[in-house]
Order: sequence, then C-alpha cells, then structure tokens
Amino acid sequence: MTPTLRLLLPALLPSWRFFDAVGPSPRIEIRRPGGAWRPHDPPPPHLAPWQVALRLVWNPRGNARLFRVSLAERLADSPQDPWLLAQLEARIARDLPDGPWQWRLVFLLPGKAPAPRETILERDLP
Amino acid sequence: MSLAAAQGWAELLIALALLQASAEHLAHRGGRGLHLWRAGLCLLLILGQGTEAVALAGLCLCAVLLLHRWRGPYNGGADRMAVLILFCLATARICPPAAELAMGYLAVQTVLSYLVSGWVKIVNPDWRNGRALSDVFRISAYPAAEELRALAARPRLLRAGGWAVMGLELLFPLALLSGSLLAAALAATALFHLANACLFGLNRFLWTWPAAYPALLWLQARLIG
Repeated sequence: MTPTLRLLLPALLPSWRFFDAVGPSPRIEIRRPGGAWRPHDPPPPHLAPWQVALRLVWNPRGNARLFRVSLAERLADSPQDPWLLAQLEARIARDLPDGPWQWRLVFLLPGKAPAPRETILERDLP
Repeated sequence: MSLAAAQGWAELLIALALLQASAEHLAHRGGRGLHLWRAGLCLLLILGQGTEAVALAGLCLCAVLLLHRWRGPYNGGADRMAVLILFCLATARICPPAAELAMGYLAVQTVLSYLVSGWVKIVNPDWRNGRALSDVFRISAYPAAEELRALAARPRLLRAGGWAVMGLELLFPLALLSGSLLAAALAATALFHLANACLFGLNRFLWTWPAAYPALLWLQARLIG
C-alpha cells in the first residue's frame, strides 16, 4: 500500500472507535540536570468563562498540546523513532529558556488512585 | 434540504472550520506555507462563484500534504473527519453524477460516527459504571483546566453523563425517521461537541462535525421526507 493510501484510508473508511477504552495517559516532564521534575506546559489551573468561550474559536496552544500528546502516544509504540523524537523535542524546547534541559515521557495508568506512573523515556534535550 | 443546498452549506461550514484551524497554525508556527495556501483556498470556497471544484480539489491536495507532513492527522478525529468531508464534497462537485452517492456516503459515515462511538462505549463495563469517564477527568491529558479533574470525584454525575452520551449516540440513527427529530438530534449532538470543546479543549470537533450535518438533512429528506 502506498504511503498516501495508508494515510488516507483511515479518514475515508473510518472506524469511529472514539474512547472505546481509557488507556495510559502521557505526561511530558522537564528539569534542569539534577533538578526536580515538573510538568511541561500543563493546562492552566483554572479557566474563567470568557476564556472557555474564547477557546471555542481560538485555541492554538491547546491544540498544540493535544498534538504533543498524540506524538507521545506514538512514541510509546516506537521509542526510537527519530522523526517522532525530533518533533517532540523541538516542541518541548520551543517553550523553554536556553541552557541544558532534560525531559522524560511518563504514562499515568488508569484504574487505581493515585494513578501508577511508568517512565518510558528519559533524555537530554538537544 | 435540496442536494445543491446541502453541498453549499457543507462547503461553507468546512471552509470556515479549516480557516479557523489554519489561523491557529499560522499563529503558532506550525507549517506556515501549507496553511497559508489552505486559508486562501478556504476563502475561495467561501466566495463560491463557480470556483468550488478548484477550491475543493486544492483543499484535498492540501489535506494529503498535511497528512504526510504530520505522518497522520494533526488533530486526530477532527482532521480525519475534515478529510472525509473534503473528499466527499470534492467528488460531488467534480463528478456531478456521483454527487448523491458522495453526499450519501458522508451522511452514512456521520451517522456511524455517533452509532459506533456509542456502541464501543456501551459494551465496555467501565463506561456503563462511570469509571471510564472518571479516568478521563482524573488522568487523561484532555481536561482543559486542572480544576476540571475534581469532576472525577463525582461518580453519579459522571455515570449519568456517560449514559446520556451513550444514549444520544446509539439512538442517533432513529432521528433519520423525521425531519424535526433529526433537527433536534443535530442540536443535541452540536451541544455534545460544545461540551467537549469546553471541557477538553476539542474546539475543532465543534466546527468540523456540523459541516457534515447538511448531508444528513438532505439524506433524510431524500429517503423519507
């Protein structure tokens, strides 16, 4: 199957299996070498009604965050994929000041509270 | 709704949805060249005046290039639905004898998008007892604000919410039995997409899915009236 067909077929013959199950959820965490880990670009703690309304028509940062989630989920299946790593690391680095940083990909597992965590990947940010 | 009206409205709505998405990309540094081109094609589609076929063909090409660019859809389900809508509308414009087939296919896929989503949830015990929705709020990356995670501690509300969604999705095909029932169902599904946009930041679903609704209105009138 050609690459184009492989990319198009899921759109033209969709499965529509949205949220059939809630699986492990990715989190990207960052730190200065030797420092404490913290979430990278977490959602805001609170959204006022006007901010919720604005995000209906303008949410570039939120959609970029969702794309990073999608990259992270794909990376879990292919942790050494150079394109995925490059895309994700470029997006992480974009939001950070200069200097050495490390990042890791952690998955929160459903079912128990508090959610168990599994670290998939830990790297220096290029 | 006539076929021509359905095509016109669907073209306008998908052009607006893609224009909104492209504007976000242009502001956020993602694939500027392609998105400038796409925004221009959307404006061409909105203007109409006999340029629809060219605009739709261009948007389909753009969609393929973006799928290659991101090695899949950038925004998951919303982008996949947009591709489906574009290809159906382009087929209807470029090959008028196939217009009814293309719009009918779009309408059927839209019905399936709700029906299959509802089915895969209701057969999962975690959805039936509310645990799945609790996990979505508690651990998933989707909640638009951290304070929304507190909803995970309201099992009765989430169970009721889950059943409301499953009911809406599974019963949706029955709405095709009458025009007024379909209008009410489409209002309900639009509210469902609005809720997802507010709670999970999924604004592109809110603008993309309704672009397929004119095809449903046409099909209902065509088959049942």
